[in-house]
Amino acid sequence: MKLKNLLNRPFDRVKITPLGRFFSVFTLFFGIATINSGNNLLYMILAYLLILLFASGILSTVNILFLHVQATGQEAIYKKRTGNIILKVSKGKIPGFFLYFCTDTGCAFLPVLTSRVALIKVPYKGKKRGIQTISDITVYSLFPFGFAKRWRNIRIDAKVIVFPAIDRDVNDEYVFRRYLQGEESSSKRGFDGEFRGLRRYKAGESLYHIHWKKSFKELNLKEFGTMEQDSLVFQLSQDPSEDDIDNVASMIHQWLKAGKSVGLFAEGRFFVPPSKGSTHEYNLMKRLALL
Amino acid sequence: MRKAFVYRYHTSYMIAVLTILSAMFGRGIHLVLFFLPLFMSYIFRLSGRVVLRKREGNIIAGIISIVFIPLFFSKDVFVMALYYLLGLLTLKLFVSFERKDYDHVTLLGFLAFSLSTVFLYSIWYMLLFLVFGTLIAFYLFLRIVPDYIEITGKSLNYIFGTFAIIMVFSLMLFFLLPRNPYMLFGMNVTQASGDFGELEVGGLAKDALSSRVLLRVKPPDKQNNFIYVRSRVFVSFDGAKWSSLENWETGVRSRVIISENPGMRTMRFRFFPAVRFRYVPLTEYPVLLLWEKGRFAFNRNLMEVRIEKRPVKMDYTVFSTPLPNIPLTVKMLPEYLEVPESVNRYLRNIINSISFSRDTLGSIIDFLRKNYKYGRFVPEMDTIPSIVEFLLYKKKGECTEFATAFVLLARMLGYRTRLVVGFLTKEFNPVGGYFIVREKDAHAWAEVFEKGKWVRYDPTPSGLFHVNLIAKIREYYDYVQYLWFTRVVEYSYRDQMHVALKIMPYYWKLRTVRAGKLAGYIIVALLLLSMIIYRLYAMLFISFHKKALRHFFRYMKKNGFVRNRGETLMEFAIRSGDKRAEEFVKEYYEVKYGGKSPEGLKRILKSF
Repeated sequence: MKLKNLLNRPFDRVKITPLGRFFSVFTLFFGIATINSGNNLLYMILAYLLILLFASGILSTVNILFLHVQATGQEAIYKKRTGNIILKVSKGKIPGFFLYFCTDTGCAFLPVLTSRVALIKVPYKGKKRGIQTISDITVYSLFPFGFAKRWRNIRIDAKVIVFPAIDRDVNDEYVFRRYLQGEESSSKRGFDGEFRGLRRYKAGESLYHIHWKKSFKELNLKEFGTMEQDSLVFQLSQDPSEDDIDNVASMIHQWLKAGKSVGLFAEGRFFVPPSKGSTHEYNLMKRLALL
Repeated sequence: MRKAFVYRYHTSYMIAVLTILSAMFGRGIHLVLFFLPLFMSYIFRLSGRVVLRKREGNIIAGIISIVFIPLFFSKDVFVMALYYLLGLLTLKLFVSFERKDYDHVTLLGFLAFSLSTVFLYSIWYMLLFLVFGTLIAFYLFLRIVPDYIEITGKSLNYIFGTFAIIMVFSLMLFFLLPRNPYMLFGMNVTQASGDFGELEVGGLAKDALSSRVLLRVKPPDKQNNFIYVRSRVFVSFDGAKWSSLENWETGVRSRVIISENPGMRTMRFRFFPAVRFRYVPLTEYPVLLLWEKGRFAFNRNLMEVRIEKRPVKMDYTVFSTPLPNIPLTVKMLPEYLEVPESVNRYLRNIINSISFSRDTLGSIIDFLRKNYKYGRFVPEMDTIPSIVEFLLYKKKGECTEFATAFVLLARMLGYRTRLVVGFLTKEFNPVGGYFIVREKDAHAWAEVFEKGKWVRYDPTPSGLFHVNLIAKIREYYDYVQYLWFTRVVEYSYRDQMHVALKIMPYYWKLRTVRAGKLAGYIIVALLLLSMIIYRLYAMLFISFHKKALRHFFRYMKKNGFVRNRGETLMEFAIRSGDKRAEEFVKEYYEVKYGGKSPEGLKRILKSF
């Protein structure tokens, strides 16, 4: 089975580095000088130089042989921003060294790869929103002496979801700035705002906020305002343009970053109730990406 | 990050040290002076101190350039240029050290190493080659290693193991690389020692004191404990200096072959290429000379051999017999009776004081040995010839003086005599079965023409040549050197063909059906044996959890589950839906990574 793989493997492509070029030319001249002079000690060095070239070829070929690459997942990849796709890589019994796994937009480095499975994050820059296919990944290495860069394309057919852009300059200054400056007030009660007054303690409530000095006859509880804001729900039209989606994504990102709970409603498709947190953001972005 | 950097550092450091070593072995101590600053700069860099400022560096660079200008006109221009570059590099290291400098050090180190091949032929070269080759490979490897990766001891072992294998393969390739019997463009060899155009009285011992091995003589059968090696013959003497015959060229033939001699014996000579003779050393008298690379000029009348074109390397076989009958008459040799007039009258007095017996020449030798001592002779008087100074005043001399005195006294008595310069060695190496001829074995004796042939007479007091009591180790070491020279340094196109012709019959034998089948059986048997050994190894030395894992895979295969590529063990177990499998994988990880005892694993295996 392995032999079959070996015979049917796609051809590696090789690019000789400047060092390799220098070394080859040097060996050539050295060879001419050696054969002319007939000095056996020079023959010894020549044999060594040739073996070094030979070993470089053999080791670099073996180094990227029997590679198995599979896409398993991704991190958040926004449009025109670099994110990571996660690859599961493994090799046969012969280990590989100093391997670079590259997409069109970036590379990941793996010092040693054995037959054990390794997970690597390869940077990828999404150009378009939606599901993108990465047909193949390039694996290259300079191992062992840096004479040549040997690479091979491995088919992975990975499907990556690219989220809309979140770096839009959204015209939301009025609301946003007011919020940041703390000018907005809230009528809700909670425990993280300003002091509002006292009320009677109810069984089951936390003892932490009991006002002990004013609890001579009966237990009184300190009451506070809340920082929590009203939740926002973005509504998308039935047929939103690419710009609209980018704008909404940028706003969602900004609001969630500011700590607000945000929801999303796309007419006739779905409704995501408002919430907070990174998982929620991931979900919202995924919904937007797949629109 | 730091560790990787330190390794890089040590590579360059080692290269510098090795270059120093190669220089020391080859060209003498003066090279150390050029490399000493390199050494120092490394040490200073290690302690993190900047030694020179840029301006000071420039001034010193200027001074170095001026000092080097006269040196450029010396013989080895390329070598001097290299040292100059190294000197400047050293300065650069003093002033500032960048990562690029490692490349420079490596490159220059390699060039110096290659250059050292020109003059470093000893076995030490091999050691230097092994270490240097490994370091070069390591340096090239380090170039592709990112700085933040630490290289631990175990992986270093693997790396150096790989490089060692590469070195072994390169040594194998060395013998296979095609040798060229021709030379595209030649070089003039200026270096020549052992070339005595003239010989002063008292001059031989002055130059020949080192114990450098010049050649090894391998006789087919060892008849004596000593061997005389002839190098040069002198005929005319002017009182202080010997010189060879002017009409030397008469009777010169390019090759002389006297065949069908029943008493033929072979003398095989091996030369150190570092030392080159103008005159071919011979044991006794040659009959046939075979040499492929150059031509010999053979003067049959004088029994002398000279090389017409001086070659770079010499390797020849001499077929020698007991002295053949030579059609030579006494009349042909008038110059062998000449005695300079300045010495004549002194010699007559001496002859009068000799008590001659029946053996005239023997009594001259007895006289010389009785009345003169062996020791260093330095001529001091200007008024009389130095040989007279030896005979009448100093009465103490070395082989040249004894031989000269004998020759002159014999000539006075009417014997045709000449002086021969060569080597007398008693150093026999039983390991290799050859005599070792060293520089300090240089010797002079006389030859007298008797009954149509030249006969050797050695008047120098015997027993004064010290016998080298070499330790057994030294014999072996010399034999290794001998092997190194004959099998490696002088390995040539001819040797290659010789080996090929030796192998060919076996190859043709193998091609016949029977041998081919046998070879096939042997290969199959070897494969089976290796498989059995591998199995045994697997049974005996593989840890329990690995065996358990194999058992687990077998069990899963029976149930119809095969692990996909890239699937982790746990994923595999979950996919199978077998709870015992999940349990096994958990336990397996505990044993493998958690150091738990494998008893739980055994229990689960039993349940399969």
